[in-house]
Amino acid sequence: MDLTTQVLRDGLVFGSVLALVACSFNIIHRPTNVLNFAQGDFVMVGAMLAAVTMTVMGLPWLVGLALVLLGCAATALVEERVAVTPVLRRSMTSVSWVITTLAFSIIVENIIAKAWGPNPRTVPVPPGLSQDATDIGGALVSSYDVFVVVVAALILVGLELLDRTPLGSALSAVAEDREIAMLRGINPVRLTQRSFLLSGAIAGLAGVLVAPLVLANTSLAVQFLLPGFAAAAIGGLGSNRGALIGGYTIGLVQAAAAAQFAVAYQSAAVFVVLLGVLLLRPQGIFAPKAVRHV
Amino acid sequence: MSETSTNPRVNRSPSRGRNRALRLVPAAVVLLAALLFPSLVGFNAYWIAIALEVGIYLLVAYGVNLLFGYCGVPFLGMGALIAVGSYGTAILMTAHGWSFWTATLVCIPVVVLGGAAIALPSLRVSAWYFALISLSVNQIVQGLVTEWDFTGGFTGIVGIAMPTIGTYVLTLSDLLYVVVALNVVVVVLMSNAIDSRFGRALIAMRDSEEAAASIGVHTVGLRMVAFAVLSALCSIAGSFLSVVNQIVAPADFSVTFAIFFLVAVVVGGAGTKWGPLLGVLVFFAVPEFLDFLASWQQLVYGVVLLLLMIFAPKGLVGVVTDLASRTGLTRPRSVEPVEVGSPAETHDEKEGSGKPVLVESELESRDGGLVLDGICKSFGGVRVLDELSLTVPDKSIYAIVGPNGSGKTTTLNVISGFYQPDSGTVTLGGEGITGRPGYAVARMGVARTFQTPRILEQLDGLDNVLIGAYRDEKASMVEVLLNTGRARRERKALRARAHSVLRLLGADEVAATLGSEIPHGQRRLVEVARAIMSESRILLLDEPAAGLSPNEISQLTAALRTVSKLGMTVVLIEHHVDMVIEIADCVAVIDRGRVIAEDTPAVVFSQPEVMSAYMGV
Repeated sequence: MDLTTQVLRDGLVFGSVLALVACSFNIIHRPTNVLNFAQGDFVMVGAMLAAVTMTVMGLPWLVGLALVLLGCAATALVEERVAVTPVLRRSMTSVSWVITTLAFSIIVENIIAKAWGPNPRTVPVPPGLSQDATDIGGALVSSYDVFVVVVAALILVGLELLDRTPLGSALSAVAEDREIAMLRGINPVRLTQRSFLLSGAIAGLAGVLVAPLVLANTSLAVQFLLPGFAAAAIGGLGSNRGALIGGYTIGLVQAAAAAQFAVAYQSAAVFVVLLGVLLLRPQGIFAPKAVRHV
Repeated sequence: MSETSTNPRVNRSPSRGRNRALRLVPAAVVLLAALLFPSLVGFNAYWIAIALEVGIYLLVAYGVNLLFGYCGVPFLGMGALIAVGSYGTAILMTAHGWSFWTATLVCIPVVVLGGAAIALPSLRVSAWYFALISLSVNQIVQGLVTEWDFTGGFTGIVGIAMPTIGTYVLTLSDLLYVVVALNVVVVVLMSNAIDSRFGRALIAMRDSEEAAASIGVHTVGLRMVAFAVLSALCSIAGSFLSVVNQIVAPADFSVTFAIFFLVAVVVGGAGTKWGPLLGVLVFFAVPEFLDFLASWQQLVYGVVLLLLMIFAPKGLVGVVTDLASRTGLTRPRSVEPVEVGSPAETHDEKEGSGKPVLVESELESRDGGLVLDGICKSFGGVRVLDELSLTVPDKSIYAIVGPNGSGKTTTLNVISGFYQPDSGTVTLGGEGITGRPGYAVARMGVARTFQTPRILEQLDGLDNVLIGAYRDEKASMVEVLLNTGRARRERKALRARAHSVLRLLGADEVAATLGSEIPHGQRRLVEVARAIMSESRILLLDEPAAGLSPNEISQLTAALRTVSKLGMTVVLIEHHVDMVIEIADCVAVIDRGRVIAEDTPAVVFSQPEVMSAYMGV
């Protein structure tokens, strides 16, 4: 086993999951300008629901997946109803949503912890795949690793295509100016709801994908919040390509920090990289520079 | 508690001395209770330790109230800052034999600078970045102090001795008195700061960043000051916690610990004077008495935070004051008493360094002539301003007209520094102002109003005018904090001046009206008054007459004449041609980012190409 190629494998696999989380941040951010503190919780809920449906209830993988995606989408919709739309209705510019989404995240995390306890749970891989690793160029790679990387990349390509449809343009219009979009017959509230549904499902998928690798547990929420957002911010908020590259970057930084120092330095390393990018290029690598509205 | 009252109309009360004394009663009661607490509980160590914790947490809560409540910046890294203060003090005392007092003092700058290093990159970007990054700092610091050897790893640092003075070892109740004294100092300094121009600037910044910049507030700088105050308070709190607990361990500084402070301030009432005290007391009293709630603590935090942010953003204080003002129990806020008389009377009581009325001579000596030369500005390939040049004579009334989308507002934004032009120069009174940020341009004497009036809803009409004098007030931060004679005199004089400016514009009836209640027509006048207050050289107005009734337009026209008579140059964008013809000395017509005519109204409006571009005839 070669350390460098192993870091590369870890970086790509976890980076793919982070890219999905980054995208789920983007999807909500576009029509609302909200960045969601509970995004990590969707990942955690996805992993925990996968453990419940696939391991405890023994449902087939695909059925379990469908239930997980529904559950995560529903959680996201609840958040939109109770924590986001009420404060956005009062003022589009206030930052109350920072606090309300944080509050929602605390609530979800504690409900899940009360319901299923703190013990990590196993989650199976899809049928036909395995986590048995073979040595490829010095790194231990399993068929499931390849699956995770491919699925994440496909989802990102799909989102990019979605952006080019009329729905994508509508999202951009709402992002630009909610009121003017409304005048053109776009219903921003419905769009906001749809983005929460999609965002919840994608973050939930990230949870299902990562669960076999790390075991499902409640601390996943915290573990994926900062790196997932860092991936989105480094890539440039709103850019799918940026999310993928940001995801890989953060994945590699985490893997390298864990291999070089200790796991405790993982978040510190991500943090330093994020602050560095913010200092040099606050808008991220792929996003256009923001125009000030007066 | 009177500062959040919502009934705007009732004016000053006759017995102000007694009122001031009455206002101090609750504070005195709280102070007395705190001082008598040790003897009331029979010097029971457990209860004194609890009281100490309340006092220490309160220090942090006041800092959080300043940064989150008054500045609107959601910071969540309190756990990390307190941890650094705690560990720093503990290590210096146990491993290096320092005294508690020097260790505490040394930790403050370390925490402030460390906090600033993390805050500055994210504070520039947005509130969310700041919130997320600060939340993550808690986990990182907690992880690192567990990892490192010199911080004692998982077990932390034990055996921290009580502070000493000479050879006398302080008891827990002595420490309580020290903490109470610290609280008094913090509360007094902070309420002085909040009542000053700095406090008004903070609120202006929270409610409208652009309004703050347009009166010359360096917004990032002021936020950093508020953040430094919070950092220092966290550090001090950390130092005291280490000696009270005699042990410092990583588990004490969890994310939940940081969130506690936010929850406490939100529960009590963010941005109110009594909020932190109420919030900390509630959150201490309840869990201490209801032990079974412990395992539900976080869930309770989450639910309470969510419900309050949505239904009662002003927390308990807000609920109480709402109820009280609805039932008529409290007298609403009175404007600081200024004898209302004619401007001449006010003039007579000129005192100190303040300026009771407008100092016209000073304005007249300043050159408010404005020259734009070859300004180009593009947005994503669309050229909005194309080699735009115009000359505004000093002390004239200059109107800019043109069809929608011709670049009028962009021109104003370039002049006031909100946009930087791609090329070309802006010169004011012979000085180049191109390339300076908005607050710096404002400080050079450029005032502006916005298409939608930027009235601060939480402040009354007079305060809304007063913030115009932000860069003009002379009293330093130190004088304001100590509420020195000079600071008091200056405040009084400025209030008098703000009153006379409002009266001059015929809008003095809104002086005591809360910003959110000021009618649309008067909002514009308040903005103009704010500009006069700032003694700027030039006033830029963006469609000031939009949405006004004919009556209000004539009031506005009179106000602008007054401004001009006072010696300020006036530049306005306006669609009401009648109004332009009536008051403008000079008119520029802009079409597709270029000036197509610049002359007196009579000449300009008789040119056929102007009529075709502008009127479509």
